[in-house]
Amino acid sequence: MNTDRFEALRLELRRGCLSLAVLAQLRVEHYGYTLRKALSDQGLDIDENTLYPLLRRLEKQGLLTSEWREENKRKKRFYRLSTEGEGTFGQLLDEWQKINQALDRIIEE
Amino acid sequence: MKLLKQYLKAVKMYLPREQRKDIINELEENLLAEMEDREEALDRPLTELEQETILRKHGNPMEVAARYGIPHRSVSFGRQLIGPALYPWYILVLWLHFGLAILIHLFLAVFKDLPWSIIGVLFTLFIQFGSVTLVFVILDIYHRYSWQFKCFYVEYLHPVSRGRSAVGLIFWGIYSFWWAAIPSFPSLVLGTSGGLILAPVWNSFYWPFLLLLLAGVVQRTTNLIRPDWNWLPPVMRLLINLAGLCLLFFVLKGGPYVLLTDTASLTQAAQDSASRISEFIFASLLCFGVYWLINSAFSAWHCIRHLRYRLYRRRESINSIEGV
Repeated sequence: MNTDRFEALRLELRRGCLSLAVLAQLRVEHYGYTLRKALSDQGLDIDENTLYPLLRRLEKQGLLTSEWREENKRKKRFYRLSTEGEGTFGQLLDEWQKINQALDRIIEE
Repeated sequence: MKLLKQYLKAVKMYLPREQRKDIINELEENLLAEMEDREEALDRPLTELEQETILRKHGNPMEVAARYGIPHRSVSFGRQLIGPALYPWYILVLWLHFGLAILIHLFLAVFKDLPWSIIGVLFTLFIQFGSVTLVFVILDIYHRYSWQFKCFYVEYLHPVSRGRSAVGLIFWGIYSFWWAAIPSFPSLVLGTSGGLILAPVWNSFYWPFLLLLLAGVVQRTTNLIRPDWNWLPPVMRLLINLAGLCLLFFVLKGGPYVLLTDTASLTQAAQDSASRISEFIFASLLCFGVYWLINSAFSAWHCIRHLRYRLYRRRESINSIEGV
């Protein structure tokens, strides 16, 4: 039961961070699989069934742009941060840092 | 990449129509990239079972599709009973049933002068609601557990189950004993009712049919020892069914199938009875013929699939030796 509760809280905690991590990583262009690998290489494992739909949602919100392009003789959909996304990413990053600093202070008390 | 195609086809089924193509193309690319990455790490092409592992890990097609913005409406009671993929169909079928039930009540009230009662209508709607919901709950359970079978069951990848071979061996063993014992115990076919005997036409077909039954026993015994010989069942089924059909052709031409003993042949009733039994045996054999014909077609199709797979594997191994 404790494990379930922890899992639910962990997922809640991760949910917000994932969008931020994806936006940060997409300052450089990626397609779905390489993005997942890049995030995983930096210690953030993200399930493909979470990541791929998330990319489409962020694109729908105008934060990402995508383009089908050929690479290694196959068409792939490349995503990158849009101009609007860059602004939002900056704001989210500020917010994240504020929360982080506040949390540090609370935890150290 | 047959498995990948099958998997994507299953996901596609649950996606909103307008986004289907786009999502499937993207998903295909990402899964292919993952498989290629794995191939690079292993320095060889992935086997079908390895491909299957990647796709299994990717998840249930219905749940994968549900992540792509299908409205997450479902029926839950403690736990989810009807998932988002079936929910729109559930609502549609439910409304159709409700509409139809009300129409029938109206029709009966107007044209058949049956009394219209709200309680009666509500009771019918309640029954409709209960039965439609129950059917969809069962369908949802089926969908949740059957996807792996639908996506990944490729007979030439999996060994023949020992349980299946054992059950087959028992049944084919019993049939073989029964057939083998008929000359000594004719009552196994015609019972103990006096006056009837098997016609001589059966003598010519006794051994060929017994050999076919024994071939079935040999196949199941072989698969019990070598479950990896998964090509054997369709090949043997095809051969046995075709041989059975040839034999049947001659048997059907060779009636009557039962005769009367000298003492019984004196009465007209006994002669009628013998003739009816012969006709019944003829009709039964005809049904067997149709069944064997359909079974032969299926077995031939399975054999072609096995053959194509083996040719594909052979081509792949030649290519890998030549470094293509």
